[in-house]
Amino acid sequence: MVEQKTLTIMLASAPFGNQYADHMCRVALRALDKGHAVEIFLYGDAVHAQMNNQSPKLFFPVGERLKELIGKGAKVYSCEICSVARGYISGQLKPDGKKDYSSTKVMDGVQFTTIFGFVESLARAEKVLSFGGG
Amino acid sequence: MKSCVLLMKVACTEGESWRIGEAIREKGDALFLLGDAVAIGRKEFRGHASSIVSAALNRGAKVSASARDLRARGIEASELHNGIGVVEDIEGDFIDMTMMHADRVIAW
Repeated sequence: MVEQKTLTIMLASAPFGNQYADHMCRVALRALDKGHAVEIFLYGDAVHAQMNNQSPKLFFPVGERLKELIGKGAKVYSCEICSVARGYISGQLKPDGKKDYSSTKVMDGVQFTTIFGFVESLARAEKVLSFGGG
Repeated sequence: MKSCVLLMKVACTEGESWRIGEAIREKGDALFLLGDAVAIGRKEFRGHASSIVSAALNRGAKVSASARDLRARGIEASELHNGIGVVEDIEGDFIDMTMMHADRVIAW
């Protein structure tokens, strides 16, 4: 039995413009297959990977793979500030004072956090990988 | 310290190539070529990044290239430097090295 270790991954490039999201998805899926815990942080333009109803006819199906990752137990976090900037969530507060993360544009299972949440994910990680951003 | 480098790009400056090559110092270290980076495994490749592969091979590190990405780019295994392994499940091998053996991992 493999001792469960956590792999934390930051994705910093949008899907389809290059292959960083493709590579990230494949690596993350294999890590889950091998019994490791996976936490993914979508940062900057990579938050576009969370878009619902993607239909990449000629590209690697990043949206489908991300849903598969979530279904297999990966924790997918998205940068709250980056998502507000790109119109995925409103950035407003609900009447109860909590942040309103509701959105029809974002696939189910994506959780929003700030860069501070990412630092907490780093603290849980055995290893950290970064894909894209350059 | 065991090191593992996952290379996913071809365009590297001379300085970047040197720094990445320096991360792969000895037998037991590993270099994985994924996506566009499989091209730098070619004997005919002349960019700065070719020094990363030659440094790794000369130091006895394990160098692997993605079979899927070679096929996608029309690169035959015979075009690669001797000593580069062509691997179908390169992501699986990378995860094993990263999570179970390497002290340091660089994804570039």
